Amino acid sequence: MWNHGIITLLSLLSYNLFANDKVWLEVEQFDNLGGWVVDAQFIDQMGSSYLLAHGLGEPVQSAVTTIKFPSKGKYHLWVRTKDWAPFPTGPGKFHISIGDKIVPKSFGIDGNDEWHWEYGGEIDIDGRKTEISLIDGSGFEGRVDVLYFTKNKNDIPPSSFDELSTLRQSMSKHPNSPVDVGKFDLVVVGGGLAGVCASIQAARLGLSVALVQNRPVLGGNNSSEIRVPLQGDMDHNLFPKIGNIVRELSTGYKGEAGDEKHYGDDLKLEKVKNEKNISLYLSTHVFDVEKDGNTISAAIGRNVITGIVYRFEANYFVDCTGDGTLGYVAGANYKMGRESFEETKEPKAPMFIDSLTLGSTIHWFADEKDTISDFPVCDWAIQFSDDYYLKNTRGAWNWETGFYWNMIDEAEKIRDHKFRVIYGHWSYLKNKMFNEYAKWKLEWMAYNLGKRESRRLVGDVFLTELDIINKVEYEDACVTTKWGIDLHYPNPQNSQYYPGEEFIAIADHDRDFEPYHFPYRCLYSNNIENLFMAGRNISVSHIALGTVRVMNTTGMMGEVVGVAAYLSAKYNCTPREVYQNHLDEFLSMLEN
Amino acid sequence: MLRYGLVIWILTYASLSQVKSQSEYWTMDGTIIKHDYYHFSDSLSEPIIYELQGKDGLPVWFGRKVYKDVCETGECKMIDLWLFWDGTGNYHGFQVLEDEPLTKTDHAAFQDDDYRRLHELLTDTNSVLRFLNQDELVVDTSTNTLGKVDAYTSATQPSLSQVVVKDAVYTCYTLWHLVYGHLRNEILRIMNSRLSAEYLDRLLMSNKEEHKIWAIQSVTKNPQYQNEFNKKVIHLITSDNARVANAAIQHTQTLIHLDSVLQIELLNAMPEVDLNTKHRILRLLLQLKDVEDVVVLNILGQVAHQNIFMYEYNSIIRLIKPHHLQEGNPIGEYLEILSTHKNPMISNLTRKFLASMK
Repeated sequence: MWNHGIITLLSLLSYNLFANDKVWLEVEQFDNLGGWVVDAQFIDQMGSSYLLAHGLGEPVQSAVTTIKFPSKGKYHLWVRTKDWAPFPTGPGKFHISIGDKIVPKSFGIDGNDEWHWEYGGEIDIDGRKTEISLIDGSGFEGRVDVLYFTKNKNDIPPSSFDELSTLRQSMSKHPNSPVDVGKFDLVVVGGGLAGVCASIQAARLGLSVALVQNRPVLGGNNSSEIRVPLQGDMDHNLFPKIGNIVRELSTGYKGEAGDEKHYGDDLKLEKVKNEKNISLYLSTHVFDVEKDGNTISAAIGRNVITGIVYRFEANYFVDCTGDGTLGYVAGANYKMGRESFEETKEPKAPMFIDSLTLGSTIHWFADEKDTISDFPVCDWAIQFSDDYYLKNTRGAWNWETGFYWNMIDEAEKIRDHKFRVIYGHWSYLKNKMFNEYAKWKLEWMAYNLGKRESRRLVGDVFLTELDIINKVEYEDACVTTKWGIDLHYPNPQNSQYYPGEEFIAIADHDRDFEPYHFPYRCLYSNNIENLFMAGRNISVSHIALGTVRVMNTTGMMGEVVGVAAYLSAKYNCTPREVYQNHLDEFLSMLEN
Repeated sequence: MLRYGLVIWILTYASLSQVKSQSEYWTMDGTIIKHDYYHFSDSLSEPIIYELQGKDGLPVWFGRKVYKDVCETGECKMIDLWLFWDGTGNYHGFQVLEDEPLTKTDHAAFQDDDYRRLHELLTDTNSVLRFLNQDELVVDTSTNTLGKVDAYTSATQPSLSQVVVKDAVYTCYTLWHLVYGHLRNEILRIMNSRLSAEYLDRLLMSNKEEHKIWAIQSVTKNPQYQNEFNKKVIHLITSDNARVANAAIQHTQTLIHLDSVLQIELLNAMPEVDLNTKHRILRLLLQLKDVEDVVVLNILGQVAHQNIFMYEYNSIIRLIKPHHLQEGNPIGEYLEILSTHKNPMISNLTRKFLASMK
């Protein structure tokens, strides 16, 4: 298990390459991160983890590291960063100190909201061993990816994703080939409820399992990083024993945005560690696969801190990433957005296919203290007014945004938009309604986006609203949902004031919902022969996702997939062939 | 003969802290009616369900004096208290007798916080207690759940310790099942036995929200009344009372077919409701097979004025049928106007639709 305590040791294996005239410094590998946090959510979009000054408006403690320059002399400093809220310029200001000198330039506030290189000027290095600090200026989400020192004035680092990736790889001390961690019966990618349940189920049935999770904790949306409770009735199951592993992992807490301890990070970790057949790889992001025809032979993942690339070979794979990342890179068929009425004939479907999805949430809360505190006016944030303001002191399910934006490619934009909403809201309460909120203080805010919907991988059955309302019975029915089709849309009043960038949702939620048992054939890819899926990325339409997406249900999917994986391994067959040739045994195992 | 209670906990929709005095309870305007009722599981209780009926002949509350044994960890005791339901069978409160407080396993009397917690538990229609058998009542109060499953065998969360009164789990269990079990069923049977068109009219005219809601739900459950009452129920979507309006919308959502009268009633409701309700009405209309031309035209007008949102317009245009595009049809003509709307999302979607229909 990786944790930040090991990061210090692993800095020896870092990306800090020293040629004669250049130094490449991945900041997530700093010796001491101070108050900065590692943000690894957007690696596939911007190329790397980065450090985020997530200070809720109070400057965070500096991140510090000591490096050895290859030689004395003048180096040109380049810093990869962005102005995340250029309205007109954002608050994410930071400085860099090198030795005992602070670089004069303020970084992260130049109005450019794409990741780009900012030139820090010429730096005189007079001693080889030099301490470098990232000095946060505001506590408002300044961010930095890499520092590049070069003696060559014309050595301007590239901006394109591919060129930068090539440069990053060339500057790495790690071997070009991935480190092979061995062969498993099953590789589960994604450590939310679905992935943890799939792993435990498969391990208990005797399979060797690699569980690869790109966060330092397990639980996904139910972890302390995001703080969404487990929901979904498990007492009307077709197979009553399905759900038992979910129950083992549950603390019983039903609140949103609650205290960290309620979400059971340690409980989940303990459960996984207790399974001798599971090898756990935290903070490891799968970004590629090796294939043999339509079969995945290995998943390739990079540790988001050290940068070391690993190869996970297996006979079977499960995509529990939520975003369908494993399936996507493997070439699995997938869908995203709303299917058209012409395609699905669902009563709730739009005329034409469009890209609207359910929104994402950043939870937060404030507490009332004994003393008065202030909070800055945030001109760069979303503005509220006497005509429209909210009075929340904590987040709720309906603080939701990103409906019209791409939940994967624009995820950072969505997350940052929510930052602007929360900070703008808090700024309004603290400055315009000071008497009422004088003693309230922002205590916690997530920085990991809690997504509800993005890619959905396609299986042999593509479940739609029609299946549910017509109560279609499948012979391979295996998981029961009783949540009701729960679809979220931008709140109309919120839309009036913030068209196109809404951040409050309404729900169309059918609460008079009879239990519906959906089929196993939604849980494996229809074109990648050894790929299962579980979670919010299964084979359902946008509308049908509204009922299956809650985490008790996704956890149960994981349990079922674990059983199917066992049978696949037993009979050396594909997931599809479990349905075709071993359905009775499969259902019998779910029963017992 | 009733004795005055030490504490009455009465549910109000406004605040749990609002407590009516016992004298108010029994001195409300109306007539007390006694319904004979006996159940084997509750055989020691007075075999009567009391009803206070208002001047309009509608029930104000139902009540029952409960005298029943509860066994906590092998030791049995009697509980003696009043349970009350509102005029439509929703839990309303309880009344403990002055010299008969509720007690815990250690014989300690309930304190105010305990009664408050009990009241909260009894208001929860979906309590975890619903799914448990008596032999499954084991409360694990340890704070360290690391590596352990909660100590009761039922699937349901949250754990019991979070919802019951400490050291009184069987009392809580017994009372919850009394509130939501056979007694409530009997109250509902009494209500249902009175069901008629005239009774429904009186309920809908009542100023009590629970009467209106019960009436709406009865119309849903009894299709024979729908022809007569659908329009009246739809009109209640415009109610200032959000719960009544919500019940009205929920009823309307169950109707597979809305004739032109009802569709126009819905259309007429739209200007009078808030944005969220308007959205819900729109979604109701969008799911109908056949929508009246006047309704379609009205909705397109709202699109033109950008009162409706683009993700909804993508569903709204499903209402357009081929005959709407025939020459001279006002809907077709309106779509031509929308195809040049200044908002590119409207114009582009309209043009795309018109092209698809050619």
